[in-house]
Amino acid sequence: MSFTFIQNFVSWLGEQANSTAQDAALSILAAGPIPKHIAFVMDGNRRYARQNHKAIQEGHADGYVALRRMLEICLKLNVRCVSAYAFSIENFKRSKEEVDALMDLAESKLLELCDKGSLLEEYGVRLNVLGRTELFPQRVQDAVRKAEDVSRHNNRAILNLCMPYTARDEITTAVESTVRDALQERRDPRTISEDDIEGHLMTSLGGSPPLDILIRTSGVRRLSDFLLWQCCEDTQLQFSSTYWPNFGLWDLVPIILDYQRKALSSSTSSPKLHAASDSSDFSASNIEY
Amino acid sequence: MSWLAYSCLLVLHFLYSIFTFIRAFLDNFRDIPHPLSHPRSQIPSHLALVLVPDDDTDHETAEDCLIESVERAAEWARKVGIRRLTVYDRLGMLSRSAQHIRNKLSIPAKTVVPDSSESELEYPLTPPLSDEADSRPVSPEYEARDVNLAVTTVCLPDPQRLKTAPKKSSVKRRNQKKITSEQSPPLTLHFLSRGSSKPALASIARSHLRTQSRYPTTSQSLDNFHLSQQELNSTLEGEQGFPSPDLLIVHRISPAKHNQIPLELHGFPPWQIRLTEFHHEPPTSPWNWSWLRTSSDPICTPLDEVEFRRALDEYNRAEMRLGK
Repeated sequence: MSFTFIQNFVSWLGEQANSTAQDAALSILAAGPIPKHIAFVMDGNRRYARQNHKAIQEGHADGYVALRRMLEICLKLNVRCVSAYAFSIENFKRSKEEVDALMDLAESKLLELCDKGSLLEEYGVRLNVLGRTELFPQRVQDAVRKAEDVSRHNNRAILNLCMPYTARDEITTAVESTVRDALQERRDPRTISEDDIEGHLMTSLGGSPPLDILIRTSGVRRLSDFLLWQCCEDTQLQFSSTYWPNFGLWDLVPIILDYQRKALSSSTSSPKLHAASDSSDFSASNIEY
Repeated sequence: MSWLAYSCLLVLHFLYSIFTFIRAFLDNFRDIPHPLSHPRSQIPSHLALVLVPDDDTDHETAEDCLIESVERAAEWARKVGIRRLTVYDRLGMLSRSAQHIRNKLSIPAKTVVPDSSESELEYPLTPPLSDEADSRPVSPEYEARDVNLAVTTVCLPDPQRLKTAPKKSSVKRRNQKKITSEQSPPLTLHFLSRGSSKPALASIARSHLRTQSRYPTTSQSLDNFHLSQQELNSTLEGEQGFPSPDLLIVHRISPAKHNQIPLELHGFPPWQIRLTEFHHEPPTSPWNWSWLRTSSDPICTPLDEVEFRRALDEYNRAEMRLGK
């Protein structure tokens, strides 16, 4: 019994040490420039499941845990906006069993986000679900509507869950609505510019700032129809070989350092001591020491 | 506490710089990629090349380096069997040099120029550079008038057919078969700039607005206006545009300020990169880094063959699941 006690104590000690190290790392990183908008392509859930001899559904469930973990890390770092590619329109081609399991997962986790004390409430996050939600089963559409309604008045941060989404669909819709609005306003065609299309993108309509970093996990070096318009300029594209369920703070640290080097080398003023103090929606007390 | 955190951050950055320096140095000893002639199960049929000059590099030096990179890429693409090459630089230096590049790539260095009677056979007519103002209707309902996609397209003839010029017609026929089996396919070259990117989509929006403005504007007509992905795709990837590349290489021609620079796309057209594989190489020659060099002369490094071959090897290993 004493051995079990020692074992549990050592395990607890290890967790406390890891937690303290993570908080320290976050505090240190937050002393430099912090990206305003990070996007994740959460790739590798199924390969992770096969590697760990788990069912595919378990891989997706562990992937959700990773999303919560990374969202919390980004919010502690005062990242203003996080976007995640949760489900592509192309993913409906998967087996009915897998799609149904993903719909069950989406519904349950969206309803979980509506609960008191959830991550959205704790960090004042507004949830935007971007995509062709009319393609979802009614129960998922209802869960989407409820989660968005509950968080609508939050203004400290934004979480974009892109599902079911493709960038080409978003761009097409943006061009279409640009033309419609211009017709209604009787605008001179010569006044239409790329800024008008940009303003009609789903991310812009949800109040998202420009995209600073896009991270794709599992070693794949493609965008797979995600945020094509938003990331084709000066967004840093980072491809990590880690599978998404295993992705954590220590994978994010070098990515943030790369961003800070670019921000510091292009900035003409002295480096900022606290990124938090630059945002009107945040205070230094958000960072726990 | 904030000064402590900031000091720790400086130490962290210093350690990170050492780590990336060592990694960049060790990258010089990576496995050598397979040669161009190595059989690969997957070869991109369409390769895109994004060339990035520095703001500090003078225009003429940068342009020469860009042109040399395109010439090299075209030569290697032909050897490997890539049929389409798209080259992009944000400022459009390559687009302005398209005629010059076409002339240089159409005539190989050691060519015996045939007499005029054979020139029609040996020099297939090269289409003129695409005119941005010309357009053809995409569909009966919508005509893509005044759409400016800012894409210049050139079709380069096969250089092998230019080299060997049989003297007698009967011999020519036999030799033509032999030439056909050895020749590399013609290469289509697209020259792009920032104007081919988001401004091109804005041009399409303006064109649709002009078309729709001809009709009375009612709430019903507004509801009836629909734009499909297929229609937008047929314009952007049609005759005036360019199709989606399979592989895209980003190459910085100027020395890097850091030994670790994440991939950026520098304004490359967004529509066509939906499923494109990306490749870019970190700086592997620390002695070229600007803060280490003593000479003030700028160094421009054109695309090199090792980088090209490494990109092909990576593409060969890539797995495409297409959402499934």
